[in-house]
Amino acid sequence: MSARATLLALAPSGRRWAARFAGLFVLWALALELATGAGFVAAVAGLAGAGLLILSGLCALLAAVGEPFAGGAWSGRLARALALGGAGLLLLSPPLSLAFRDTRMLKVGEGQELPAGALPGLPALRVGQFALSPRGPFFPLSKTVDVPLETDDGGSVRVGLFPPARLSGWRLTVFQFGYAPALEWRDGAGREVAAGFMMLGTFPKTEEESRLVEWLPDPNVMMGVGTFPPKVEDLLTPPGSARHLHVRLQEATIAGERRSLASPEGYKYVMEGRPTAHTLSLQVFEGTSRSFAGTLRAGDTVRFPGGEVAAAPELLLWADLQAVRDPFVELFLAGGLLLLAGGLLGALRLLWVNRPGSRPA
Amino acid sequence: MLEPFVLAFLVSLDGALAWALTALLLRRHGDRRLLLPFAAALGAGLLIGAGLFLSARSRGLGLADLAPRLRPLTHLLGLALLAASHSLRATPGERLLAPPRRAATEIGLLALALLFLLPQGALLASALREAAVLRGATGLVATGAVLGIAMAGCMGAFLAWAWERAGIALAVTPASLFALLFALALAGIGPTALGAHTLPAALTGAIGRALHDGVHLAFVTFQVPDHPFLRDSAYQVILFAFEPSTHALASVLILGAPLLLAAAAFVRRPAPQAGPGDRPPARRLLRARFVRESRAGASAFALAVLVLLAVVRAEGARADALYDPLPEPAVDDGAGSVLVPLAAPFGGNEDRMRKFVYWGDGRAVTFFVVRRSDGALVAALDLCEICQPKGYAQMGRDYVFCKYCRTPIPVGTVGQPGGCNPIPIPGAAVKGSMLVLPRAALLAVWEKGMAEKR
Repeated sequence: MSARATLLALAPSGRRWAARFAGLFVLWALALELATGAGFVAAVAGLAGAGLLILSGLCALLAAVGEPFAGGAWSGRLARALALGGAGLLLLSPPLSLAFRDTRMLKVGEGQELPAGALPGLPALRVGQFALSPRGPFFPLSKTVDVPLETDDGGSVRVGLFPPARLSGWRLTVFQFGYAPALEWRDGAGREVAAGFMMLGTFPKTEEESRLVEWLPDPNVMMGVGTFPPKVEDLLTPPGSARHLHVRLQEATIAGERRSLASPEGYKYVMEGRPTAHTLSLQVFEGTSRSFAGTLRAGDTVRFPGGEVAAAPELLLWADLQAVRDPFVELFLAGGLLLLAGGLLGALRLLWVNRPGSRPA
Repeated sequence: MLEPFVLAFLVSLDGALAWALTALLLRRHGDRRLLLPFAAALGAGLLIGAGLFLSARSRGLGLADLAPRLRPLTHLLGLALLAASHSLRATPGERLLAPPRRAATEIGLLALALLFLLPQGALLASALREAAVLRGATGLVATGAVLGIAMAGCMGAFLAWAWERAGIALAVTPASLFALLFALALAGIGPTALGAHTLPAALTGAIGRALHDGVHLAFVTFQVPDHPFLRDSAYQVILFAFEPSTHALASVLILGAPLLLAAAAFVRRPAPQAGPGDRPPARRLLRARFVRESRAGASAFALAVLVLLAVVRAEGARADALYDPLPEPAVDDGAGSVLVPLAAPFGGNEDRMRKFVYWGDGRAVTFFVVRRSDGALVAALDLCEICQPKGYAQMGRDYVFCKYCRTPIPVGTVGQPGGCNPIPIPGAAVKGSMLVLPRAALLAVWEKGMAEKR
């Protein structure tokens, strides 16, 4: 039996079984949800659900491959082949994507130089100055957060909110961003306790340490893909030390206006531009007792019993870049396009065949 | 005695109807030997359920501990009935109820009967025990229950006889039987009487959650940012997937598709071929019988689909019970305050949200008042910091619900600023039966909130 004849013979079974496996997947997903409440994602990612979707996708692809050899008008065969192929890819790609997707987070700060291999395969990178804007560069974005990355060979990539930028096989988007004031903290004897850019919102802390200060309330933001607005405070505890420094970005000049970033309305201004001439609110703790509370302007030094903290004039921005390696996203998109093309061609064909005066199909 | 009688009757009526429908199929295919065992299995399921309740009680557990474990059984059984209706769409009764499949079919039917009333057995036992304790008359309650069950049994026998006489047996094929049993489970006569009818909510809820999860999965897969970074028009398109009406439509499509496919397979089944020696009248009779069967069977599927539509619609109306009152006018006292009379409904124990609108300087300032769980009344603008001004509704007792981004906000946090919380009104105070708001502050905070909206 020739390959063509085999495909022709298998195509009807492929169509039938694709529908059966897809139906079984729906049944499985519903049963799993009703029995355990595990959710749709667990159904897609689980062995049984993924197996059913993959089998269904493969059967649809088999049917699509056999379709061009079937009888009938070429336009009809093409429409069916495109639709079946698209459906096959759409069914195949979600479980494969969930199984093989590699998601990492890359923390970058303005001016930072990342060595090669910060992520597997990523070249050495220089991080440029971020761009913030209250308007999106294009639909559907309402805001702009741009992170320019330069490679050693002179290449450059701008990573934004959407769509993902491609770099060495990774798809990069800005997941969240924040502020990094430059601080130098010295003890009473002038020894450095900590110094550097403090990426607010990124420091690990224990539950006990968290209870030292009253934190600003977190905003309610749904869906969890990225967080907004950026955090404006953090608690720094040098390793092995019982001292803690709480820093809150109190206010700054943004787009020519003095704005309070610690107020609940602060998020409204963060996209209007880069903050400058910032003022920090500081609290210093020795163990659990507060030894100092006060404010510190950019470029000033504040002294207190047992030490001093100096703030540099710069306030840099940092960002978490979400880096994803997932070849199946393209497969999913291709499936959607094929299905759409098949559907459109099928609809046009119906209109063409049924037009007044056309020959009987 | 009446209440136990009615409860037991309604719970058993589900079983009686299931028995009557199954009896039509069994009698039609000459399998009368299963009629009594099927009824006994239904009764045994009821008794096992009651036994589970009594056993749980003896271990110091209550119905609240047992019911969550029994609920998945009801839900999965409903789903299994739907799946069976679809998978048996091309299987005639003769094939199922004749060797070699007959034994397996009978075992399957007995298992179904055993599970059909099992959860209700526990619920009924709990309700009867409660009635016995309250009335202090165990004998009367037990008599009422037994009479109710007996009455339902008699009704089942009568219906089976009457339906057979009326020719309804023609409508009952294996696929249509399971479609009708699914409809019966969806309608839930007994569970509704016991106040524990959860199958429609579970099925539609599972489909709604799957849609919601699917959208979330797409966001994660394609690395789409969150709604604060999206334009309003783009987010409105995404919100379409979260609309209760979309969930209801998806429920009807997903749950109705197997029924419709089964109906289509039944209607398109091959017509019986007349024998070579049959005379034209015999051929016409055969054809007429086939057409009658087709019509009757299609009616059975249509009935199941109608029940599904009605149940999903009723469930949608119930789940969408966001309380979104029309704003009442608030008045200006001419001395710098806006007054809101807090007489009824807040005079009593009414905890529901009330909305007010104040017309000041040509602007319609909408705000609401809601009672927090600590008993305090709190006022906030019908507007949040982030979203477009679609306002809030109350969701149950414990949440207000942002109608734009569909985020439930715990009512205890109303009054706190930030994020999706409604913007607090500074200086709002309850004075006697009046809520007094400083006019200037109200207008200023509204103006500020609206200035950021695009």
